[in-house]
Parts: sequence; structure tokens; C-alpha cells
Amino acid sequence: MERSKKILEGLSNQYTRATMKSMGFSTDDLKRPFIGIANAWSECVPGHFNLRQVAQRVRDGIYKAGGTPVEFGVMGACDGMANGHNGMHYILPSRELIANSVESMAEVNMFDGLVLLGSCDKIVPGMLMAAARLNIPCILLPGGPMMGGVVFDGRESDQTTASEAYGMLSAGKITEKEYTDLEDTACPGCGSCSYLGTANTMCAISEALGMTVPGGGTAPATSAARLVLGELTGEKIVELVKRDIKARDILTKGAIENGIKCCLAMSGSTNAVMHLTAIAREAELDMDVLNLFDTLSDVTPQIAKMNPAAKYNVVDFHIDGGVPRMMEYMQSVLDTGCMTVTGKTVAENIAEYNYPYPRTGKVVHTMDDPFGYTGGVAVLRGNIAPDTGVTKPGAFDKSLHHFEGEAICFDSEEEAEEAILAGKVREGHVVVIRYEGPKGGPGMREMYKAMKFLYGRGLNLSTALITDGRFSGTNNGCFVGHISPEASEGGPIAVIHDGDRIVIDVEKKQLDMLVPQEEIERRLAEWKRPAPKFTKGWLGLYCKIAASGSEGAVLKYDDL
Amino acid sequence: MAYRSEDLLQGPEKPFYRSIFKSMGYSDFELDHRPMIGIANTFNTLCPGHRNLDEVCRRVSDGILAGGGTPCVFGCIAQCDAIGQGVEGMHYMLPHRDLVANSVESEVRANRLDGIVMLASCDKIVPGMLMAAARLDVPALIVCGGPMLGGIEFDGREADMTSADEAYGMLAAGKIGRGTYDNLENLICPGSGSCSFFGTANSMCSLTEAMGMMLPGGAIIPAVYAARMRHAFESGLAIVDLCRKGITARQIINEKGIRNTIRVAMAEAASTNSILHLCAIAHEAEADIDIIAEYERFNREIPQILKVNPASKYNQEDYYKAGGVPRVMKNLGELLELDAMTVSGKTVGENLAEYVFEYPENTEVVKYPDAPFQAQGGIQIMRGNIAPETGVAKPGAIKAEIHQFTGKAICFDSEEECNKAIIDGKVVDGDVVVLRYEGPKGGPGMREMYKSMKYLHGRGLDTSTALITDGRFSGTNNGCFVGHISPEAADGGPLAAIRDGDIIDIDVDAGTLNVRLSDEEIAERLKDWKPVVKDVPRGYLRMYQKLATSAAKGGYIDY
Repeated sequence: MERSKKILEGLSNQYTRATMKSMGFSTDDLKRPFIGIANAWSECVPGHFNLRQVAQRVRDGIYKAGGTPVEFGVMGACDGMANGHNGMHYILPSRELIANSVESMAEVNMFDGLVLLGSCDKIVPGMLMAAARLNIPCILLPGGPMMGGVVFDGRESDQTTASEAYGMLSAGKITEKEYTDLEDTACPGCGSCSYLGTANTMCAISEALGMTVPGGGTAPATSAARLVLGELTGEKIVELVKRDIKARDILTKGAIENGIKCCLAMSGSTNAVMHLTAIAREAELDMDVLNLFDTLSDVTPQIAKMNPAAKYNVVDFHIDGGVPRMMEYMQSVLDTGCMTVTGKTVAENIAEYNYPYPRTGKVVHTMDDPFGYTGGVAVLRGNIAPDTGVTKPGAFDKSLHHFEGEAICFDSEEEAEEAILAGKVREGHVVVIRYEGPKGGPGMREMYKAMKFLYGRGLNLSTALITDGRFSGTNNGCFVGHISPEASEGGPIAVIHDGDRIVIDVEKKQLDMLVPQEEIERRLAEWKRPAPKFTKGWLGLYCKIAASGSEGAVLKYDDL
Repeated sequence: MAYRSEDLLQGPEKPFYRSIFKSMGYSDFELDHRPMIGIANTFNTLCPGHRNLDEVCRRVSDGILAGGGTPCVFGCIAQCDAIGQGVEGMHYMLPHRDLVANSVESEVRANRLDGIVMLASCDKIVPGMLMAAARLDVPALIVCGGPMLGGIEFDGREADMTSADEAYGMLAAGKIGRGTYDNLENLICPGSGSCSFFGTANSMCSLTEAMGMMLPGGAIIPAVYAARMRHAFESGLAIVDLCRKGITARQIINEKGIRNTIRVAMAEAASTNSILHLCAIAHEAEADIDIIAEYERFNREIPQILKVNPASKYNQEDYYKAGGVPRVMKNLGELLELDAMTVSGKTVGENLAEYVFEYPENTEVVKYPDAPFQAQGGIQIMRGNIAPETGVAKPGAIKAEIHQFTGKAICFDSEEECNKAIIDGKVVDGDVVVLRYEGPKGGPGMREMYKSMKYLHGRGLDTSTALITDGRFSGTNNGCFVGHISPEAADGGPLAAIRDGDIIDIDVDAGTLNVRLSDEEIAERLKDWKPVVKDVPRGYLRMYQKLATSAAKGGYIDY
């Protein structure tokens, strides 16, 4: 309440009260805790399409609990829609715009508390970054996942089924009608992707961090439960304001570790590494998220498995108990004393959680009976990646855990794709795709198509791909991404030559080129920074000041 | 013709993209060979000027569908200057303009939209949207939410939110009772809308219309009028037409369009903030034009023919009924470049010839150039050894006897310090208050020095002192005031070299601002200069603090 009083209380603030009253607020409204709702609702993002209805229930909850809701819009873009054209450059940078937008609105309007409504890949981390930065009471609530689509090729389909079906169509395995019919049936309603991509990973992690009410990470978009969660969120934010429980009381080191462990236990998206790094930085926590992912990866069993690694969708995960079930099973390894947005600790939440459905045991296993220890993330280092490279050993065949091959270099994703399709990439090649990092890309695109094309040409077991870009959760092949320093910053990946021998050793966590150190240094001395790909507008700025993947690709302005 | 969006929606991988749209209920009809048009909807329940934008958005969507396009709505932040006034939040006001521009740019490019309708009303949102349009160079137009109606009659005019501050002064002086004061709170803002007076918000909306980026007559229709909804529908039709004809933003936001905008700014005596915003918009449009020089020129050539609140008792509703921007433009006639293109798909001249005025004209509100309110425009560019790049004054708001002012400098490095000194009686007759480190970088965020001016007025010093600053000033000031001084102090501008006691000469009529120091002396003082850097928490504001350009360039983030 202390914040909003500065603009709404006292004789001299009649100016602001009158301004608010132009919109129909009453005298009583302006005396209550003033709660912002950042709503990323949009008609271009399926994961955000239902947020208007969710917001209505959040408002109800806030009023019930004695607060006053005020709603505003924030941008948000769907990764899917941006795929395959220039728009993809904008996706990761939009995370910073969202964080900055929410920060600005909260500071201008002096909110006492803030509810963050967002579901998709970059919106959830952007909003959590804002919460960590602002350090006021905050709760994040996503819109929830989509239901699975029509059964196709042995599983419930989703929008990526359309890409796979395209391959089948070109191979003559299905008819054009079967292909185009998917358009109406693969996505039966709104929601974030039905599989465990980055969006649902981040929503589940938000719940594990304690920033989302239990069950809020995965309840389906179209379920009544989603609306009930909206109301609960509204009630809880007012309670947090009254008890003065702020974002950094929740986003502690213990909470971030819980988030990392849950991510590993469900084999979540590797993009979480970067986002949790950025969130920890905004919370001013002194911790190395990247190293934690690496070390915890070896000891954390995978106890949840879903699409794309299994046929079950995120909705099935929810029915099997979702994040609460996973955390209940993991209690012995989690910091259960951490505070959460319910105003209770993780342990209390687990004890009190009322599972809506009987356990199926199909998606979530117990710690004694895990799916394996391969769900995790490995951090590779070496003379190609002095700071870091990230891979997901569980996503590729064990025979590729040690790979030695000959470099073939490309300075953009498009060049690499063209070469792969033209048959220039052969067995034994290590495809190097560089200048695709945060600054170089710009925007650290996902090398989605290059991987799919290697797969399509039957090269996924005989080649490898290394890049300073990102990779999508749906890959299956030997792959190292997030290499930093990136090529545009003069990282050694910039001076690999075609024909250099490259060794990827996932067990030893090494990524090296078999080139003497003096030679690497000589090449680096001759290296010239290429002109940025964008010089104007938002991306022009981003090209200039984005930090490396190992630092979470945040905007870095301290040294300017 | 083929639209950009068809690369995705009709390409070989179309089921991927189309299935995403279809998850939200889009039909084949909507996804087949029609322009995909984004609507940037800045609706919120915090900004009175944006409160009705959801209804406006609905009508724009209807128009787009009726015209043969497919609308897709997304949100974006928007802040009300009034609510940030007087708290730390004011630092965020100008910087958030760039966030708006960047958000719209990202949405249009990430979703590969064919055209964009931008809904906005308030001070920084309208220019942020125009910056995005100029940067993207796709078919684009703006629809605003319209001004608020005037409030209860108080102190001889219809009240608005600034009446609350004036009444607070009266209450303190015992001129009105507590009951009267309290009552005003419910009555001065009778409904939503941008301010009922001609501040920056309505200035920027009317200048958008003058530029050609809004359909004729749209800027000043009050928020609650049915005409606003019809205008919204017609704007939906118009954007589809622009997509079909391939008329993109830079065919409108070009040298010609910007010159017309400045002419109308002079005729309307629009907000001085328009200079800052037009600099930024011209930069985004890569237009070859010197905005400051054009302001100097048109200040001499264009008479002021509009006079409304705060310069008179007439509100925006009165301006609307008097014919609004089309009346001002029609009366300017040949003084404008009539062949400039607009979002109607027609030129300014064609628009004016076809425009039907629904209400009779009112020459107390809008006059003709041969019998104007004032022979010169309302904005004076100031230059001199304090302001090598630029300074801005508004002669109409300054009493004639202090158009020339010489006084002794008294320097402050923040608004708060200055306010305290004024209240403590440390500022006396004959002082020139130098209020610096309040520019884009220095402030950061180039705040409006609203309270300092009000306090000088309150202490009866408004005709015996002057105030110069690298910050901005609000349209409601009345005193000898020079703002927007650039280069700003934080960039090592000469303002930083001034010391208490230096003699400063201000001549508003001649457009000069000098300190009686030699160039050598100024250079000597600046040799050991270290900037005052305000402590700003980590985050967007700190980034803006490091990267903002000077007021003379537009205060945008540069790199």
C-alpha cells in the first residue's frame, strides 16, 4: 500500500484520483491495494488467446480479497508464427522489451502488487525478470496448454505434426488432402503448445520457483480449472501485498535451484538455462546457473516424460499430477522451505495440494523408478567454447556421445540449410553455424530447420552440428548450441576453418578443435568483426548490446 | 496482389502457420489471400485516454473485415503522463515512447503482418507508434481514442484535471472550502478520454492527422461520441485499401508530410513536445529534413489561428465542433503542401475539398490567416552560447514585459533541489533559475519541470524571474521559460559550465539565450567537468540514461 499511497492518498493527490475517476473508479476503489494486471492477451498468440477470460477471474479474485485491479496490455509474440522468416530475429529480444514494459508500468503507476499473465516462450521469462527487478509482490499465471489434436502417426498431433507431414507428403506417404486436413485438426483450441517445448517448460518452472500457484503451470487452457486458478491468483496477490511478501523473497537461490532440478526432472527445454540465468541476474543473486545445470544434471533423475520425448502431452502431465506431483516425489532433493506465492512454503503447498485426478503413473514416475538420468543438460567447454556450450545428451543416440569430424562452416542458418539440401554436407562433417548468437544473429535463433534437414537426409547419426545459436527441443542428433563467446564477439568459433578436425566429447564435457593454440591465436589476431546485420530500430540496438548466451543474453549496458 | 503474409499462409508449409491461427478460431475465409492486419491496441484501465480503445478496436476490426482484410489484435503498454506526475515514475515517461515503438516493430515483423492500425491517444504513445510506422514502412494508420468532455464549471471555465491543482492552491489560500474541493474530484473528469485541454496528447493526435497518418477529422472527435466509432470503422476500411494499393508509411511520413505537420503545429500553437517527437519520427523515416530549422522558419511564416484551453476557455469538444483539424487545414489552404499523400489514399487537397463539416464554424476558436490570433506561430527556437544546438520557448505563454530578461544565475542539478530552494525562499527577484541534469540522459527521461514553474508562480515570482532547463515543460506554464536546451548538461553542454552569479540574457523575440562568458572561459570551465550521474536502479531506465540522444535529436535511444 505504501507505493500507491504516493499517488492516490492525501489532499494534494486529487489530480491523480480525478484522473482515475474519469474511468469510473470510485473513492473506495482508490483506497485499496492497487494491483496491476499485465495482460499479454493477443490474437496472434494461441497461448495468450484466453488471457482475457483469465484476467476477468483474476480481477474478481482481487476485488473479493479487498484490492483494486487495473489492467494493461503488453506485447508478446508466438515462436511458431515467427519461425522460418526474418521475424525469428525478434523473438528472443522481445523478452527484454516485455521486462522493460512491465517495469515501466509498475514504476509509473506505483502498483502495490502485480499479476503477470503470459504463457509463451519469451513472455514468461520476461515477466519473471521484471518481477525480480521490481521486487514488489508478484504472481505469474499462464494461460495453460492446448489440448492434443487428431491422432496422426501414432500420437495426438500438434502444429509440428504439420512439418513432419510435409516431409511425408513429399515422400508420397500421405495425400495432399491428409496433409491439409491437419490444418483444421492439429490445434483443436487455443493454449500454449500441447507438448513440452519452451513455453510449458517455463510455465512449469515458474510454478517450481514458487511464482505461480500450485497447478497453475499446466492446467489446460480451456478447462474450468484455469479460470478457478485465475480467481485464486487474484486473492493471493492481495494477501502477498498485505503480508509484504515480495518477488525476491520467493526468487531466492534455493528457489532457482528448485527450478533447475524440476527442469532437469522433466527434461525441459535447454532455453531454460539462459532464462534462469537472466532471472537470477535480475534478482541480483550471486550464483552460476549454468554450472548448476551442469552439476545437477548428473544427479537428477528424469521422472517426467512427455511429448516430444513420449506420446503423452502436457495435459496428460497435468492429469497425472503435474508439477505438484513431481515436486512431491522430489521433496528429498528440493529446498522445501522456500516461500511461494501462496504465502506458504513449498513443503506446505505439497502437503495441502488436492490432486484433481487420480494418478495414472504414465507421465510422472517416482524417484526410485525414474525414466533415466539422461534428461539433463551438459555444459561443454574447450578451445571452441571457452565460456560455454550447451547440449542435451538425452536427445541423441549414445553412439554420438563421442564424435570426431571435419568442420564445414556457415555464417548463417540460411547458408547451412542451402548446403544441406544441396548435398554438400556429408557423413563425418561437423556443421559449424556461427554468427547466430545474441548479437550475431541477431536474436540467437533456433537452428530448427537445419537439424530437421540433416534428419531428413539421413545424416543425423553420421554428422554433428555446433552453433552459437539455440536449438529447439524437438531435435535429435549430436548438437552443441549456446557456444560463447559468440562469433560476433570474436569467440574462437569464428576462426574455425573448413577441414579443421573437431572433437565433441559429451562424457568428458569437451568441445575442441584439433588446432594448436598458437594457430588459434594467430587466426583470432587477423579476425575482423563483421558489420552488424541490423543497424536500425530495435534490433540494431540489440545487436550492439546483447550479452552472450552464457550470460543469459540480457541487455548489457553497464560498460557503455 | 500478393501479400507478405502469404509467404507463410499460402506457402508449402502453410498447415503449420494456418493451424496456429486456427487454434484461435480463424477460418479459411480469413486466411486466404487477404491482408493480415495487426491492430496495436493500447487499451488499459490506467490511462483515461486509452480506456475506450477496446470499443474502438472492435469497430476497427469490423471495418477491416468489411473491407476484405483479417484483423489480429495485440496489446502494448501505454502510460498516462498525469499519473506519473510528481513521482519517480515521471522518469519513465519519455523513455517508454521507445518501448512502444520497439514493441510494435517486433509484433509486425515477428508475425509478418501486411499492415497495421495503431490505437493510441496519449503523449508518448502516439509518437511511439508513428516512429514504429516510419521504421517499418508498411501500410499503417493511427486511430486515437479522442478527448474527454469538459468537467463541471469551475473558476470561469469547464474544469479538467489541472483544476484539481489550482483548487488545491485556492484551498490553501482559504478561497474555497474543503467541501468544494472534495466535490471536484468526482466532477472534473466526467468520463474517459485524453485530456479535455490542448496538451501534448491532443497536439500529437491532431498533428498525426495533419501529417496524413489519420483519416480526416479523426483526431478531435470526443471519446464518447458515436462519430468516433464510425471513424474507427472507416479506418478499418482504409487500411485494407492502403494494403491493396501498396501505400506505405514513408509515402506519407516524408519531408512534405512533416513540413505540413510543423505548419499545423504553428497554426495550432501545439505543444512544444512536438519538436522532440517530430525529430524522432523524421529520424525513423530517414527523412532529409532539419526539424529545428523548419520550426524556426514556420514560426515566422505561419500565424496562430487556433486558441483553446489552456490559452482560452474553449475545450477540445469546442474545437471538434468548430471543425477540428480539417478546419485549421482548410483555413491554412495554400500555406500547406496540398499534394501530400494521406491514409485516405488521397492528397491533403483532395481530402479538404471533399470534407463535410457537420457543425457551423466558430471563429472564436479557429480563425483565418488574414485575421489570426497572432501573426507568428507559437513556438520559438532559442540559440546562443548556452544552447548551441537548440532551446525552446513558447512566447504566447510569456507575458510581453519579460520577453527580454537579464538576470543572475542560480543553479540546481535536479528538479527536487530546485523545488526545495524555491519553497525555502532562496530564489529571489532577478534570478535566472538554471535547472540542469534534467535532459534525456541527465534526468534521466527529460521530465517536465511542472512543479518548479507552479511554485515560482505561487510565490509571485513569475514575472521577476526566469527558468532555463535541459528538461521539458508542461503546456500549462506561464512565465519566462526556456526548455529543451541542448546539448544537455549530462552530455557536457555549456549549461554545465554556468555558475551561480553568472549573468544570463534571454530574448524570446530574437530567439537568443546567452551567458556573459567568453567561449574560452566556457571551454576552460568544462575542461575539469565531471557529469552529475543520477543513481538509477538497474533496468530499462539505466539503459536509457546511457543511450538517449539529445533533445535536439529527439531523445530517442541511439547506439
